[in-house]
Amino acid sequence: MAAITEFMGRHRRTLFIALGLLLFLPPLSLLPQLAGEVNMCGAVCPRMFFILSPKGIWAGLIKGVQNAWFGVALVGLILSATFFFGRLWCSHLCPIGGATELVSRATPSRLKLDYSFLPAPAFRYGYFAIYAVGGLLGIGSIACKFCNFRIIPFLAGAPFVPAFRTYLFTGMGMAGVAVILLTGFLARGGRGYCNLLCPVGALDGLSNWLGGKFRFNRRMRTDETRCHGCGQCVSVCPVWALRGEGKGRPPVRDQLACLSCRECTQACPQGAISYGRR
Amino acid sequence: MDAVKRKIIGMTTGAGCGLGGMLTTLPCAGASCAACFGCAGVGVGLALLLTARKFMRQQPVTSTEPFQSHAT
Repeated sequence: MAAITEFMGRHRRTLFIALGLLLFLPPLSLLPQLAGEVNMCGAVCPRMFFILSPKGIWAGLIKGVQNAWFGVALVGLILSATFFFGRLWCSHLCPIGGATELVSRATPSRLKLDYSFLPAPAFRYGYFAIYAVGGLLGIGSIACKFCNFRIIPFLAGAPFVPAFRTYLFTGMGMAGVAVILLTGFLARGGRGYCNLLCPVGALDGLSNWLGGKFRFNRRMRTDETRCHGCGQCVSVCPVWALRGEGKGRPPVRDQLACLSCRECTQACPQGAISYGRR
Repeated sequence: MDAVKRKIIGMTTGAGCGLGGMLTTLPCAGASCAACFGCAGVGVGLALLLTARKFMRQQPVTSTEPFQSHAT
């Protein structure tokens, strides 16, 4: 019993990610099936409804909410939970980021790409701006193109659904797979897409930041008096939210990027990192 | 490199990747498209990322940044 408890404690996040995969991805797609879908498109899509429509912002929003009611409810739940408790969805339950992270863990280190040179939040909000207003400006929409909420369920369901396999071999399908490979499976930490391109992650990061401003939510904190600056937390962070300031100095944490995954808490030999309110 | 410059480069690269991906995939309106404009979009994105990396490497980060002030 003690061994099981210890295992559950050590692999808690992996178990939550596995639960997310079971709930949202084919072949089971337990939650999407409640909305009559087998993947995360259509009524389950959490990304389309907030794209500003060229036919009118409010009309587009209302139509988007009607079309993707399940996705809207999901995003509402995610943002509310983040505002009060931190980024639990992104770090523990998201089947898409979770899937890329799990595959990335199995990828040999020499193949991994490191995007930590990028200021991720700035990049993400630049991309998000184009994502949201592209339609309004009449330059098209990038919503389904390169969407990992589309590609990952298609990859998971490909052995079972012939139409998914067909899509993956089209130009857009291959481009989507290339994006997932480069920013997910082959990325250090496996969360490149989450940190650079995910629009839900962008909204979630804002909700987390706002929650922090109002002192509502829990977040990762480093006790500088206990930190020896060994840098182990920096190396395990899947979203490169920690930046080492030099030997012996505590790392700086970027709260807009931090997933609250608590990998750093487990890695810290001094127990200097905790998760809680200020 | 100061924090503002770093943020501007980050936002420009992100917006450039979005625009590049969007414009190069305009002909790929349907899922049945067999042309590889999508891959060109990925290529444009990668080129922008590499350019940003070059900039970042030339000018290393030297100080903490404003949005990190509430870090610990």
